[in-house]
Parts: sequence; structure tokens; C-alpha cells
Amino acid sequence: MTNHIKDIARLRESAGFLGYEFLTWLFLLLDREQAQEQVSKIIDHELVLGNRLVTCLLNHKEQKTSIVSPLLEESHEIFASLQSGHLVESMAINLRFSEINIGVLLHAFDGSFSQVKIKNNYDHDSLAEDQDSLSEQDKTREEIFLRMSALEDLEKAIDAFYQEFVRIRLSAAIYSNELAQMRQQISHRLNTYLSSSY
Amino acid sequence: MSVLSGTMAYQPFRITHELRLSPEQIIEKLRLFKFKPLHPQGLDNDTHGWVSYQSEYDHEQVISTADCYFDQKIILAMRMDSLLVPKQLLRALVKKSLAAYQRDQKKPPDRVVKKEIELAEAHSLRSRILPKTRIIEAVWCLSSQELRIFSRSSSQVEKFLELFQDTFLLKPERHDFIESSYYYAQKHADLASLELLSHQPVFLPSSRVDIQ
Repeated sequence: MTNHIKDIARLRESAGFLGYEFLTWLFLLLDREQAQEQVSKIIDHELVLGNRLVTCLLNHKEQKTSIVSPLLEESHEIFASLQSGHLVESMAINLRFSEINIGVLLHAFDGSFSQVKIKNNYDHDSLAEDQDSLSEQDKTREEIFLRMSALEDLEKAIDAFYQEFVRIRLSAAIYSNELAQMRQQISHRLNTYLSSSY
Repeated sequence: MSVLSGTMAYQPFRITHELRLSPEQIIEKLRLFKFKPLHPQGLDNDTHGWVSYQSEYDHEQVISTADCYFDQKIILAMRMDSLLVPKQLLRALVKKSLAAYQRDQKKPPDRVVKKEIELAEAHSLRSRILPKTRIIEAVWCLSSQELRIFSRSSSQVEKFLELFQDTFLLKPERHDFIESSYYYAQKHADLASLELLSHQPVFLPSSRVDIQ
């Protein structure tokens, strides 16, 4: 086993919290009013919150809060759970670029992707008329090529955000400021919900 | 879940080994670990191996480059068949046979006879059960050496990786947040900071944890 594989295996034991911290940071980033401005500094596409999110306690993962809502940012349960020490375990996001929308559920634990839906799904019917002359084999080839390109774009976008997160996370001073901002955002959101409910 | 299904789920991996296999070499190796179905009279209850993409249920179909190779991408399809003998049914059948033996032989069966009856009933029941089939697909991008396994089940992914390693003698590495952090820190000569990181909660969890 080469050294880097050993180092990564060791990190998996000691730094398993990074995925959870990242998704929490990403959720709060996408919840901000000027979210798309910040998104455009990192990627060329549009990234918005989806409609599903699960939070959990890092040391008691069975303690979960699961929220399904068409507008996640309008759900005070998320902010209430974050304030009670939860972190985001999985989160749905939508990546939009050039008439394609990729919906995905990101998982903090293993970095896997589920419920991946590519709108304009490149199925046989949606292929342009000029492709009708293609053989079944060529249509499959075309479909696989387009789908894999979409997944590559999705992974590149997530990687770009993750690299930005790691950049912030590795600097104690910058992350301390970021944490203060995140706490303030959560408290502010909860106060807004409380004041609007009276 | 498959490469072409409407909703996909997958786990990304990377092959970091320097060895690069050509599509023809890959197909040749796939053929060596081709799927072999369970024999109706056999003893095994599980089998797995490679099958031809889009002809997964025809195990006799030869795996060919034309079926699996699409623009620098190899589509791997692993078929897993498993037989599950219903224990309660088996128990009932054994009980019935033991009673028939006692009635015919006018004596209770001894331990050896009991074992033989159990084996015979298990064998007979096994031959009447159809195996449960699961197909796990993966896309291996030869230019970037990325491997996407279309399953989130840890046992299925483990089985796939095991077969992949046996077939190609290559061990794919999981491409997750930790791996990305490692390469980022390595690139920026900041591995020491990464290793010293500890969790910093946004808010501390409340001391009371409900245990139900």
C-alpha cells in the first residue's frame, strides 16, 4: 500500500466530519440573499437548493431531522436543527446550465450521489430528428456520452465548491470568521421566523 | 439503477495505478471472469461475474468490445445471482419426511438419517427455486481513469470492487470529500494543517439527547 493511500485511510478515520461541515456550509451559502453572486465566483453555472435535506448529530447520527419542502430555505426546522447542533447529512441541489437541469441528492458520509435526475434526460425520444437515422448502438453511444458529460460537469461543480470550502477550512482565522457569519445567519433566520409568526 | 435509468445513484472512484489497459485488454480480462449461472443440482447459493452490457440476462452472449466500449468509456455490467432457500418451508418438508420415514421403517430416524433427509430436502427445494438476479453497472472512463459504480448499497459495491480487483488487479480508490481534501492539501503543501483539523461545531449540541 503506498503512503498516500494509508494517509487517506487515516484521514477517513480522523476527519470524517469534513463532508458534514461542507454540506452545512454549502446550504448556508446557497441560503444567503446574494447566493448566486457567490456561486458565480466559483462556477459558471447556476446552483440552487433542491427540495430535500436531512440533518443529524455528528456523534448520534440516528438523531435526524428530515425536511422535504419545495422551498428549503423557507423551512425554519432546518435552522432550528442547526442551532441545536445538527449538521447537514444529505442535501438536494439543482445544477443548471445551458437548458440542462441536474437534480441530485449529495451525501456527506461517502460523497456519493443519489436521485440524480437529468432533465432533458437524453432518452431516445428527446434526441433530435436528425439523429433518427442513427442505429440503436449509436443512439446508446450518444446517450451515454451526454449523460456522462452531465455527471462530469456536476462533479466538477461540487469539487469546485468543496475546494473553496477546504481553502476556508484550512485557515483557522478565515474559518473562525465564517463560523461567526454562519451562526449569525442561523440566528437571524430563526428570529425572522419567530417575529413573523406573531 | 443503471447508467440509462431515469434516476441514477452512484459512487465515484478513481484508478490511480499507472498501468493503462486498452479496451481490448479489458474485454479479454472480463471474459476470464464471465458470469456462470448457478447449476440446478449444485451446492452454491451465490454466483457473480461479468456479463455483456445490455444483454445481462443472456449469460451465453460473448462479451465484445462493440457492446461495452463507447467513446473512451467501458460499461461494466456485473450480474449477481443468489438463491435463498425458505427455511420455514424446508423445516416443514423435513418434518414431513421424517414422519414418513418413521411410519415406513417403524422406528425413529437416527442422526445420520436425519442429516441425509435434511440434505435431500434442501437439494430438492433448491432445484425448484429461481435465483434472484441483480445487475450492477459501472462506467470506466479510460481517459480520466474515473470509475462510477451505479449503486449505493455498500455490500453490492464491495462485491463489485472485489470482482474488479480480481479481474484487473487494480484497486479503485473512493473519490469522496476526504480524498479531495487530501489532494487539495497536498497541492497547496498544507497536509500538516489537514491532519491537525478537528471538528468545529457551528452550534454545540444540547447536552440532553433523547433516547427512545
